[in-house]
Amino acid sequence: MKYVFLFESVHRVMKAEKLLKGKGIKIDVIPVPREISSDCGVAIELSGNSEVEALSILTENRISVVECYTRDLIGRFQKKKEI
Amino acid sequence: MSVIDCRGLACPQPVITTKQALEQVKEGEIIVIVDNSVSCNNVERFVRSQGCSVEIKEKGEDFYLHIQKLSEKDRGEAVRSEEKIRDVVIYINSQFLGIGDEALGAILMRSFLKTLLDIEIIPSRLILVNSGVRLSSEGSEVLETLRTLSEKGIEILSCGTCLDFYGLKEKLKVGRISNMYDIAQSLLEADRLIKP
Repeated sequence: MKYVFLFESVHRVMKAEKLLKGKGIKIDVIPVPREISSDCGVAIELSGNSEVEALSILTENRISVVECYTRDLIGRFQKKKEI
Repeated sequence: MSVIDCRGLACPQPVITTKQALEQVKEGEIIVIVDNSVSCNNVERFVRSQGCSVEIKEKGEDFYLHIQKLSEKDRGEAVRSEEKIRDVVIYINSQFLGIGDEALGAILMRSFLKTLLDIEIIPSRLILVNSGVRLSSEGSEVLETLRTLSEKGIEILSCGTCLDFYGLKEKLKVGRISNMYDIAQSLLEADRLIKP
């Protein structure tokens, strides 16, 4: 299971990437999947187990995650209601 | 209708088994069962390249590929339409996509390469020149993506002169070193050349 975080802007994504990588969290910057949005955007993908830590780091640094999705093994997305 | 169970088989065995099974039937449906998404993708890609249609159903952890082999005449037409775009070459001459901010360019390049994994058209080659060779060298953020592309059968060529210039000759991690003869020839022979 993977987590996909969406942010307000590409600048936020870049900030979040730097921050999370600096804290040793394994993440990947990915194009926002078509199933989620047709906008040209990028998102951050993390593997399960690190999303809680990642979220708290982001919150501490006042970078808000706009939407959060989970992605299962075969690539299906599901929107998480609570972030 | 035959059912071929490829669970537990390592790549490329499911593709080979499917190929043999397809050769046995003239027309109609066969079902291939695999237990992982990589094999599922590989078999799907193979049967499509053979002009078959395929529908995939998941059951638990397994994938059931319902493959329709068309009659020879219909298949011929399907294969011909695929042949039209047979040789797609992607030419990447920078580690950044587009001209402008470099941090943005790096993100866009990663996005572009990742997206290639999801698109049905499979290029035959990816050619990396100038700072583009940083993408295939140690420390690159896209090594895993390039490895997956390479497993899909896309040849990844990195310009040797460029690797040498950037001091990366010993640090190439995916694909192979190439030279200007190969590169120029690939560019000239391509049916379609993509420069992102």
